[in-house]
Amino acid sequence: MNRCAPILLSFALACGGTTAAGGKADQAVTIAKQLRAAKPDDAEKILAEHGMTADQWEALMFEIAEDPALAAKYEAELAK
Amino acid sequence: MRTVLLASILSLALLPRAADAEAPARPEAADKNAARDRILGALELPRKAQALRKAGLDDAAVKAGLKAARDKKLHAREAADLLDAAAQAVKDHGPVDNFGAFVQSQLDSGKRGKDLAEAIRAEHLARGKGHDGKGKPDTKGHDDKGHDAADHDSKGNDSKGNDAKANDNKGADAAGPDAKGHDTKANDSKGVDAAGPDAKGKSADAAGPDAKAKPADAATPDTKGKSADKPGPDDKGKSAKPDK
Repeated sequence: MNRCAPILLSFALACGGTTAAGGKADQAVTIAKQLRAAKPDDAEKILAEHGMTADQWEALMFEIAEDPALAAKYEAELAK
Repeated sequence: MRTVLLASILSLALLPRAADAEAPARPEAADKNAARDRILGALELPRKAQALRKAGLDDAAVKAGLKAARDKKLHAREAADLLDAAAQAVKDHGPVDNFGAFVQSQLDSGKRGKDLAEAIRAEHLARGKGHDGKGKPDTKGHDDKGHDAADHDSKGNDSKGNDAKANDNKGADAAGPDAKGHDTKANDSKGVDAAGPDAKGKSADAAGPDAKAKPADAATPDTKGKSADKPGPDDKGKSAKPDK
């Protein structure tokens, strides 16, 4: 049991990390779709509804762009 | 008369105040527009990064370029424009080494927007690992893909060859290796087909049943050649009857 614990913990952490990253991409896709559908002047309002500022939004976009998997997911989801 | 004078003085005194009241509103509107542009412009950044990766720049280089842009506090929209220019340059001239360092140096020197895009293009033209920077539209990476496709085709792996073609679709040169790949395929398949009629012409009847039983082996001319004496070479149906 003691031997398994670190392995299980590392699996849990790995899964959690992936989920968190995937969650960011999902959040970005949700917001991006809303931004695309809305009037340009409502952009800030939409971000505010998601509790996000323009700076935070840009930071999120940088983060996703830097990660090939997240960027691919973002691109694919937006293309739907 | 006094009242008129007083009124005019008062109005003159009030006008600048009204103008002052409007003045802050304009920057607010400008700020709002800028924020809107930033937000909407940022939408494209992940897609531009993907486009640059697909053009042939490796992940580390893309990440380094993005980091350089981030460190210099470029807006995401500006970074997207940068990556867009880089993607086009990579497509045209091939990737360069140390893309991130190059972007960093250009940003350090104060280049932004069109100047930065132009510098990226010039760098790729001079040092791109494509066609010696002579302006041909395809990159080394694409050539490699093309050769891969040809290799796969020569091994008979059609689907890989087609995938490579789908990925290429950039410029006339990309079609070259792909076209070769398809030609080899075509030749292979024609080889079988061509062997059929030739063999039929020579071997006549015996080739008929063999070809029916094993279409892939239709090119086995030895068995067909043995029966070359019999007439009616192309008519498999007739030749099949006597065998039965």
